[in-house]
Amino acid sequence: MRITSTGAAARPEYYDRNPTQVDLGSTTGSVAPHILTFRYNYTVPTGRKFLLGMWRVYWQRITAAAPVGRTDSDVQITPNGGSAIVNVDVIGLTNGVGDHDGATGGQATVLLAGDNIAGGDIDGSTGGGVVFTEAIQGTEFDA
Amino acid sequence: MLVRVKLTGSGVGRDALRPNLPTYSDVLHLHTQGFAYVLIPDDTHPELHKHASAKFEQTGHGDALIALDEAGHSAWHAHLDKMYQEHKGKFRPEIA
Repeated sequence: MRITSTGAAARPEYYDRNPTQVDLGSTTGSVAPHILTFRYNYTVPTGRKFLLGMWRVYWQRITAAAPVGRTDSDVQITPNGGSAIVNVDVIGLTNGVGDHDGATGGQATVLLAGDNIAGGDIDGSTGGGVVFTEAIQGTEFDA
Repeated sequence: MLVRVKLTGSGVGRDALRPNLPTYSDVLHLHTQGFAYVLIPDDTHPELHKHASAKFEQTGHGDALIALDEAGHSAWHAHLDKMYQEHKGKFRPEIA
């Protein structure tokens, strides 16, 4: 009985193929309303792949706006040659100081060479300030 | 390493305001001035440290590259084209 092919047995696991830990992210200060802004960006190099391990999105209002607009913190994935899709986001439309929302998750998604993942935020308010956090962790390895 | 780069993108739809880099992590965005301080992987941009025209500024996050001549930019862009062949000609970061 064969339970694994000789080819599969000869190929190391992904985490043994020249792995590189990728940790990207940013926490802003209290920032004014702004257009969609990417806080980190990661593109898979040629000949490599990337296994997404975890992501984090978060926002917290520090000072009230007048009026408040849509607040969004998100992660977007763009396949090579494709269009961006929002992988995860937290959206708010509240104006209380200290209001916040966030999410952290694990996700075993494999990105191929040329694929991109980015974390960004937007605040459509007038005035006021919000702190944003976006981050990812994963492992890059030989394809 | 820390670099100060120009921002691109309209911020409308999916065209986010960002540095024109394949990989970076934000340290400080200065929207109104049109540039940002970002961290980029040292091992994927070896030309920048050593280039004769590189000038640095001391910041609270370490020395930031703030000047690079045309030859330095060309070498950097060529390196990015080789490393990201699926996006040849796309990544054209500009030190600001």
